[in-house]
Amino acid sequence: MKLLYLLRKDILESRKGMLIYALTLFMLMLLPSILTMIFGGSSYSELATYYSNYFVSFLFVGGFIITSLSFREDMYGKSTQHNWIMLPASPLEKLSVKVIYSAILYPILLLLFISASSLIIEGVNTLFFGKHYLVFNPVQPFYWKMILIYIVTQSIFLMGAACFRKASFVKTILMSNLLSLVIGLISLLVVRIIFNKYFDGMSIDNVLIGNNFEIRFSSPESIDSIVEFRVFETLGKVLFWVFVAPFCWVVSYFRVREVQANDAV
Amino acid sequence: MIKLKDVSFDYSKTKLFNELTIDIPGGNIYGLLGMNGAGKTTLLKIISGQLYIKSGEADVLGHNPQKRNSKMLEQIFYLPEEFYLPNIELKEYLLINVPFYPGFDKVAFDRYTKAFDLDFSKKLSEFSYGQKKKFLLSFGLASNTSLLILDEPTNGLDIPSKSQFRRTLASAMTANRTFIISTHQVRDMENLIDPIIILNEGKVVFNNSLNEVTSALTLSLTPTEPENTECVFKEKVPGGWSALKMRNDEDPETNVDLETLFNAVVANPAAITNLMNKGV
Repeated sequence: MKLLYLLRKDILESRKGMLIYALTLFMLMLLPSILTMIFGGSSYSELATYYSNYFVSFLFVGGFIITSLSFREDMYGKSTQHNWIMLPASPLEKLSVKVIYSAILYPILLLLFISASSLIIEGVNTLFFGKHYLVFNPVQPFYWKMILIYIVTQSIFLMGAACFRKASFVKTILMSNLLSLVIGLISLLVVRIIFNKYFDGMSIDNVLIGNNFEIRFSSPESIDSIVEFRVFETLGKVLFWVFVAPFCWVVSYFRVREVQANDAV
Repeated sequence: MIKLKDVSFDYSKTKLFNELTIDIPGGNIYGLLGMNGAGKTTLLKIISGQLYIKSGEADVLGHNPQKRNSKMLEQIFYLPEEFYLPNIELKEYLLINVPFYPGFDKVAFDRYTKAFDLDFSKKLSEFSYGQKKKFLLSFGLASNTSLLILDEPTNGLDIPSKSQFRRTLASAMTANRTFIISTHQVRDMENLIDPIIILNEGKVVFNNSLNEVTSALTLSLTPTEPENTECVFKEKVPGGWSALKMRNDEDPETNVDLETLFNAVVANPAAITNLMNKGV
């Protein structure tokens, strides 16, 4: 019950911002749609993927930005932190509501919002121009798979929001890029060692390919049939789907639990 | 109700509390006094779980304040000196926040807001600073929490509101509640706060009831400057010298005004403690 109260509090207090955000998204979808109808020139594939592209962009970019702002106005707000800390709810409840809001409520509302917007916009297009883009279909499995990927990846931004007091969006991107680079280099080494027998060398051929590196990988078999590769592929999937989000939530929880009055900025 | 034992706390390199120990039993309106930077607000933040102690033990309402569990938080209402109110309707504020305080009494809230002459038709953002404070004070009192913490509650209140504040606070006090008021405006709190806790240089240098003060000390006005040996504290006042000294059996009980008591404790904490111990 307390989670519902917290959720209601978050929704009511952020509704103005969310309304402006929704209006911006609507205009971003409406204007290009109408302009294309006036000037023409859309291919079938553009007609079919118009709203799909918007959904994916708003889900990831918009969702990451919203997630990054999760704690800015309460946990780290100079004037607002007091109310947030003293609100009678445990740190776990306070974090849980942020997860529900940004990881579950946001994509579902976005799905509904784009569906409703596409109906309105394409209704207008049909009425005035006699043609329209394909209306957004929220039950396509592709969108739900995107939402699942979003839930995992946005947990990284939630962790960033909990750990960085200022500019958490930019800092999270920088940190994840740095981390990806390190993991990539380590993986490269591991792959080079484990799959040694499949490599026939590493060479720079200035004559043939200019100054680019060429890492030649040759295998008589299909890459999918290599057992070690399948193990690594499965391991990667398990890490992504099972460990990334819980790890980020646990780190966020510890940060929320440890935050003090002198952390406000 | 509140027990801090050997508590140490510092802000990076500045040591504020070193082995601070204090026991605050329930059922009183405590006045927390201290000079600027003495650590009054920090102490209140430690009690409410907003700051974590570096060492020592803390027990607030049977909970470790650092855990900030909801059972403890729903028994504490803390009105800080600088506060924030969202830009929403008053009714909406109640809708959002009341469910978190199981003891909230709407009838009492209406009574307090009426006493403070607050206009319900306005948005919270349209209230003046003093009106916002009165609104939060009404909310805090009506929430019926075991512990009510007020940091400089009379700052920003007009003169009639200050008397209304004293009346309202006194009427809301019950045996199950404890109010801690941190203030510099001791005159605003006269006849309201008792016992008095004084913080100085990171230590609790005074923690006594006014009854204990009047039993142990007496305040007299003399036309000439008294000798240092005759009193523990003296200060020049209009019409002569005000002197605080140990009360003997033949001396009548006198009211010791809080400002003089505070000045005396800060100027000579050891001597006052010594006299209080003898008196008690």
